[in-house]
Amino acid sequence: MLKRLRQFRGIEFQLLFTVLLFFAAGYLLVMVATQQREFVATVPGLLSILWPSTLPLLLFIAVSVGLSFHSPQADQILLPLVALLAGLSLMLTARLEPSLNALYRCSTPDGVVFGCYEAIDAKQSLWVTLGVVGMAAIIFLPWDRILIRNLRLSLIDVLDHYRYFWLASGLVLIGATFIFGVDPNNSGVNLWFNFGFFLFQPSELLKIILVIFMASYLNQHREVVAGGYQLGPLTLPPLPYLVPLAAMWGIAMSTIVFQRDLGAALLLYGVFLAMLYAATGRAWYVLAGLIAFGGGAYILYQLMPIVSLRIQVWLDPWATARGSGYQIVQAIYALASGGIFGQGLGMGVPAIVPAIHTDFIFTAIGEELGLAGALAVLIAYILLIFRGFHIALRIPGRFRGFEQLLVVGLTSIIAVQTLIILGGNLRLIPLTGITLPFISYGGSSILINFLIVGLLMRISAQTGGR
Amino acid sequence: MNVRVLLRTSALLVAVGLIAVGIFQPIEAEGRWLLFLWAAAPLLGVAAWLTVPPTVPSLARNVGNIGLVILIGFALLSLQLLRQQVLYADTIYHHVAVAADGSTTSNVRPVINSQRILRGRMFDRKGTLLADRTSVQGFAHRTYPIAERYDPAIFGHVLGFFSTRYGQSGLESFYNTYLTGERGNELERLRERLVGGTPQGNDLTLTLNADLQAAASAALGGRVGSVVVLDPRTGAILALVSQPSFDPRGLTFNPAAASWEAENLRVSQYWQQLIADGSQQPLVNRATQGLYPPGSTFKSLTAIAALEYAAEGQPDTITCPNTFLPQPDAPPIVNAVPNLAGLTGDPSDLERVFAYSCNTAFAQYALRLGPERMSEIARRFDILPPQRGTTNYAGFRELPTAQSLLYVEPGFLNMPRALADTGYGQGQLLVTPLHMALLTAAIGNEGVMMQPYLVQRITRPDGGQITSHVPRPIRRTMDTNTARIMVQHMGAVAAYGFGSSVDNFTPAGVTVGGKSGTAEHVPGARPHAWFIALAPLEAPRFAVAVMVESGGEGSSVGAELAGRVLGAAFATE
Repeated sequence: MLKRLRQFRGIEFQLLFTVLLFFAAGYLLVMVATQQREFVATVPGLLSILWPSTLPLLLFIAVSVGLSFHSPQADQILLPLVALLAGLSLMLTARLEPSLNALYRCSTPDGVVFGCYEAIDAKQSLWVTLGVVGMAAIIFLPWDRILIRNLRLSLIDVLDHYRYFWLASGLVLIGATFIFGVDPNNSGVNLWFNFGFFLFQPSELLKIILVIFMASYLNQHREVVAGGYQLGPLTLPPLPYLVPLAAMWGIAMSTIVFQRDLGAALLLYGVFLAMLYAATGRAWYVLAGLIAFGGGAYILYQLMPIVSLRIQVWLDPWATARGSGYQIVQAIYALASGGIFGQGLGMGVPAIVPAIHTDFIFTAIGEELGLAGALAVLIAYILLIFRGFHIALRIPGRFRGFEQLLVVGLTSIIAVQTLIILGGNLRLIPLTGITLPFISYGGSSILINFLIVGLLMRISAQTGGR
Repeated sequence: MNVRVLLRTSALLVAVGLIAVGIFQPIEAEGRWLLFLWAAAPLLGVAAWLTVPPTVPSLARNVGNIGLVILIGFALLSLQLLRQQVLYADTIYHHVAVAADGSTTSNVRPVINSQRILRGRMFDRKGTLLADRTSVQGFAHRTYPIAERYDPAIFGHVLGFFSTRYGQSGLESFYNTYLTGERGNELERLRERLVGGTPQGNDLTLTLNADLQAAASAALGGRVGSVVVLDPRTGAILALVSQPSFDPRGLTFNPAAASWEAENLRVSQYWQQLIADGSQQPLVNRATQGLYPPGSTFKSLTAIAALEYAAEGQPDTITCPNTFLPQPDAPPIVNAVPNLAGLTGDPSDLERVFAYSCNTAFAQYALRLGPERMSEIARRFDILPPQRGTTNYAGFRELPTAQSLLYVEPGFLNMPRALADTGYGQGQLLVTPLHMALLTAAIGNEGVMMQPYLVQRITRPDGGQITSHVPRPIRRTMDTNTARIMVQHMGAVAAYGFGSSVDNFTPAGVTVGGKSGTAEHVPGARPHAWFIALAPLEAPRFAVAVMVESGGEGSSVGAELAGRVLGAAFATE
């Protein structure tokens, strides 16, 4: 009993409880400010507003308590940070739902008019709940025992060993997108699978699969003596690095050409470069990779209208403020109206920015919570990312290089994705349509991100220490 | 090691310099800021990299460097947030983007916010409600209760319009921050911001007399022109009419309308109608922005100059010949009426040449005084030589104004003929009706020109007073004695001179004074009819300036109009 008490994950529990209070206060505020629910200042009145919405947050606490018994050594900071971001997501979705429905009206063929975004808050709650359950499944299920019995390998070893199987399934996934993909929001590309009850974005899964493959591959070729190939005056990286570099470059470019998904291309390539550097420590590989990407992007800029359009909008959105620049111009206005402390939750008009609940959700934070809120979110991401790297560096020994690279890769996904979408939102780089991890509305994104956290937690549980 | 420190310091300094310069680039040069920022990013990386002691490649070092790059990325994001949300937030908030095809894009938030606010009401000096507001489903709506009694167009130029689409004009514009409650009510706004509620603006009480304003507009009838009535003792504007005018209701979006689309169309059609060519520019406030030659009304200023510089002007040693030749190579000056000397006498005096409006006499005064003294006296009334940059009259800011000018081309007054023309009100003089009313009021106020004003009091919704106007003199323009003599001379105009019909409409026993003006503007066209008037002469309470564009003779058309306005002023006082 005393041992159990000593193992109690107090830091995590306290932080999660704080997040719960933060979420409850914010959610009540949103409900009152947007007048969705009558505010009754009694305990049952408050609970009736809060009840189903706090379920994901309570699940977080349940997971934390479970971890105290199951793997007390696992990282204690990761979960509260994720809970904070996910809670913010639920709060913002609840806040944006009535505004979006008031602004965007859809109609059925028989003429019944309704808001286009009805019940997005409930759906997002469901995704976060499912995400937490999925994360718990990764952490708590005895994967090692199951897999050892069947494949004679632990979970990590399965991921490491069957790398070409993962690569193949990734390629199958890409191919399947072309065949079975659908285009629900008329973006011009088929990036989604329609499972009837929900739409899944395979590129979300693809990034994890590629990270697993790259971690395994790079770990295997870690000890390559840097010789390099002489190609005329150029010194090329040694073959084991040159091949994946060229392959990733090809994948990124073809993603742009065939799927017009600049965000995914940039993300996959960025994560790959981070992992390549982590494995080799050679900055000039990364530089060469960046130059190759820049060169390819420049050629595509000349050839592909969508790329050149994105660049033009980036450089001067005001010139096409009523056309293609509309979204970014409205986002600039929204941010400017936020000021230091923001308009207050529910008091701004963020919904006029298209895709405010997905790609541009950070703009809503900037408008209603101001610079203070926006910086707080940035800091939360920095802590989350650095916690991920911290886990990677806690993994002892040279025989667990795969795990190290895997954790670096998974963390880089979150980091690079955050930087790309926020850079696009704030007009530091051309805008590309990807989600803000944990905060943007969307099922696939939420599920995959929780999957990543599950893996990080599981690995950290096996490294020991804090 | 020293090289490292040097490199590190210089990289850091250059990066910080780039950011510091870039972040203050105007928002039109956003591209330059991005360039500077991205140039600073690798320098920051180099500086940070040089700070960490070199180690052999290891996972820890590699991951650390990746973390460094990510940190720099977040730093760039934070800097951009700082620029967009703090440093240039206001500029961006109000930025209007004009696209290549001429279409404009602006922030919708000011419009939405303005519709949330119940703008303050406007009352006339007697407490008559001119402009009110209601709330329709959370949208504020400007209404004009005065419409029950008078056409709101009569008040259009003073109140101005309030449109979510075309902006604001008149008092709606100048007192916008008070009407929205942004100023004067800061505590209440803070409370609303914290706990919510419908913001209410502050109320304005005008100096305007709604009945007089309506009567003046009626007296002007359908003619194009202006009427200004001031209280000479305070500078309070009692009436300010400019025609043609506009109906502020026409530009006010009514949220209660059944179809918002039709309502928007109605507003934009009315706007198009107002700004159309050939609409006679109803959005221009002729009383404060219209620049006209003042004609003989300006002789009052020349007379003041002659009295103030009596030694040079010799006011009472004057003749009124039929023609006068100031410059041998230019055509002579003639009087409007032949053989005027028969009325003024020969030799004459200032009172009689003023009463009978003798051009040749005032041409002689101007030549006797010379350009410097004439300019100096005009300057006392803020009638200035052409100035660079100043197009508004600084003495009155509540409405859009134009600066009255003594002449247009530099050096104009150095020509004797030009100086002589200026002396009787032609030349290149360009004066607003408001300005002639100010000059009249200064004569009526023993020489002290008071600052004109329209808003007497600003009060909070709960009735508490925010500000109250205290009458302020602009300056003493003439000696008290000069003013007294001028009042007498103006009285002579009404008593026996040209314009004696001015006292036909005032109550018996009220003494009236004035001066007519018939201003040539385009050769062959009907002249502008002017009249300035003061009453009662013993202690003037009303100073009037009227002008009718191409209206004809000032001594008949102008005098009758001024008389009717004065009559209404006494009747509605």
